[in-house]
Amino acid sequence: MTSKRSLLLASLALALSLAAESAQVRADPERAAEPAVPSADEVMQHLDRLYRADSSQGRVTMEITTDRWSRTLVLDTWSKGEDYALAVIRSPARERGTATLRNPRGLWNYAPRADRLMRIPAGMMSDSWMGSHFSNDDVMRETSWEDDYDTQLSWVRQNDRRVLRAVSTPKPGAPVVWTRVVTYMRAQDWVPLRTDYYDGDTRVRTMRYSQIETVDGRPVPTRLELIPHDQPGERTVMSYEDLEFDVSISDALFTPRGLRREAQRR
Amino acid sequence: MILRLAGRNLVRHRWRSSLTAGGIAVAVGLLIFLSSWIASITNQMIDSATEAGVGHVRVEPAVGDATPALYDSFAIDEAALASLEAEPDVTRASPRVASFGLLGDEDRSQVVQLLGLDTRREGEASVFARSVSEGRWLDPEPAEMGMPREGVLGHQLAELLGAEVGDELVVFTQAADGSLGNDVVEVVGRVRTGRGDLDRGGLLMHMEDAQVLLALEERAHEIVLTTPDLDAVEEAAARIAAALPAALGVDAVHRAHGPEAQDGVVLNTWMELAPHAAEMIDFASGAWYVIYAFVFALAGVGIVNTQRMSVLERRREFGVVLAVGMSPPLLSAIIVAETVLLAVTGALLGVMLGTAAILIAGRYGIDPAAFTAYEGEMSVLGVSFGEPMYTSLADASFAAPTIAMAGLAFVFAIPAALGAMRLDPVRAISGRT
Repeated sequence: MTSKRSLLLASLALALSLAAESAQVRADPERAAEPAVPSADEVMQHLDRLYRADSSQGRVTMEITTDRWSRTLVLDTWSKGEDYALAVIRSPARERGTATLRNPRGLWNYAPRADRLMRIPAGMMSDSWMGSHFSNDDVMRETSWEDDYDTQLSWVRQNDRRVLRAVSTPKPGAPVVWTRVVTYMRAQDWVPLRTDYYDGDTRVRTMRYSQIETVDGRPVPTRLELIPHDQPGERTVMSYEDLEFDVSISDALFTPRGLRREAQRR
Repeated sequence: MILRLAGRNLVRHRWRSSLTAGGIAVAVGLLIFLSSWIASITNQMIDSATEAGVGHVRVEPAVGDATPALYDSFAIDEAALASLEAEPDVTRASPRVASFGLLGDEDRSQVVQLLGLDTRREGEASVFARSVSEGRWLDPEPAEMGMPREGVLGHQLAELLGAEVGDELVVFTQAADGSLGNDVVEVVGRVRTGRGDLDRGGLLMHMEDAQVLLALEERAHEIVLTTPDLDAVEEAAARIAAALPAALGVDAVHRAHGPEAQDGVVLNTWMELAPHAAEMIDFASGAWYVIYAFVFALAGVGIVNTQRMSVLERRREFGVVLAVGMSPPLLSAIIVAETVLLAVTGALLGVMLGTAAILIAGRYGIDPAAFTAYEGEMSVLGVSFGEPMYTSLADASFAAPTIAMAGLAFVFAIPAALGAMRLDPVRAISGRT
């Protein structure tokens, strides 16, 4: 008797749901024409490679605004593949030559006054990079969307336009501090527009991408604004003044000697 | 004659006399040793809370409801410090800067608590300098420009970094102006301060070096004041608060952080800043009296028992000496003299026993962890109990246990002496009670 009733209820629920879906599609013809959601792997691979390609080289201005002080850093950046990255501060003078290096052996900060490297513990990837609101991970791109997150994609509407929403949750054991990351991308080319980072149900920070320019034939946001929601009025804006992809970079650059040479270059 | 008779009686009953004197010796020795051990724990707690921590009185910028941060500092100069030290309630005014940073080398690094100290004021006599377990304390003056900065590490931090005296490390830190400070630090020593956070993660530097690193030239995060009498710190704090506006050039002096304390400085005593430590110290002092009472009670019961048995066993003897003409008061005096002789002998042995125990524990230390199954670093209210504790003769109390035990023996001998005075010689000789 009970199983018969359950079967009846389930059938009724299914029929109602199909009817509602059909009514919604009729009311929203645009949605009926929505393309299929792309493969999550493909989209996240695109995000992973957005700023690094096979290799990249750029000059970045970083404007940090806190409630105590504001300052602007100019830095040169290089990356090669997934494992090599280098960022060297060029100004202001007090920090000129200060650098961060990542290679498969680890992550280091370089102190120019001391002419020494110091290993950054893996547990500090989410800590602030050089006093900005960006983390070491944001700047050195240690974690990977594809390898460290499980992602669900869906189409949503924002400001009367269709955008791709990626809800990413860290894979077990991934070196990630966020419990959920939600990224909104342009529908046509998956260029990111905004990323919200969550701790539990609390939105902790937001990254806004803008000034999309074509670099070596690829659309790339050249302005990234990071807003920490627990520090009202504070923000860090990272603007690419110059960005090149797939340039020839020697592996030797990503060694302590290569770092020293580049950091001490005037 | 009384003492000679009493001494002869004690010698004739060697075993009983030895056992009683031995019991008194153990009790007195134990009390002397405990007095030193408890004093070493209490001193460590007080040092940890005051000298290595917040001083007797601490002055810091008022920041309203917020937690004081790297940026919250005040201008400080030699004239202001000298003016504070001219106050009768201040024996030392030590400015400090404090922040966090990353210390390490190419192979490893650790987050550290960076503490900049005025080494001319917190010199060789400071608790930090006394806590150096390896290497040396910071020189009075910072190293010359171009040379590595001097640094002393908490001993556990040094272990984590594998840093030996003479090694050079890099320190990175966020400076107050938002820039990134970095420099080379030469490890000149290791300290065991007893303050868990400093031992695990402290980098102690010259204040001038820390000020440059943190972009805080001529500024400090706090002034730690030492007063002449720790027991009168509340009264001293009130007088210091009145003197602060003139000394530091501030308009307002508050006694607590809060919405009203938006400008000027906040002044607190160590008991306000470390209430748990103050309570713990009070508790330790109270516990000492309880231990005293227990040991005295046990020793007293032993003396009463021995004396009572002694009198009962010697009833016939007492009957005979009373029958041949000894007066009852003289007999009582002999019994009291026996007890006092026993107590004095036992107490002197106890002093030797206690002294030996203190010297041994002072040389080799007592490791509290040895009495537990816990293998980690034990720390209670910032006081590390994971390391051996060392006793000192200077902390021991010799007079009180010795005099108290001798007095106690005298008091407990009186009932036995009174019993002997009332003895009937005929009944005593015949063995009837």
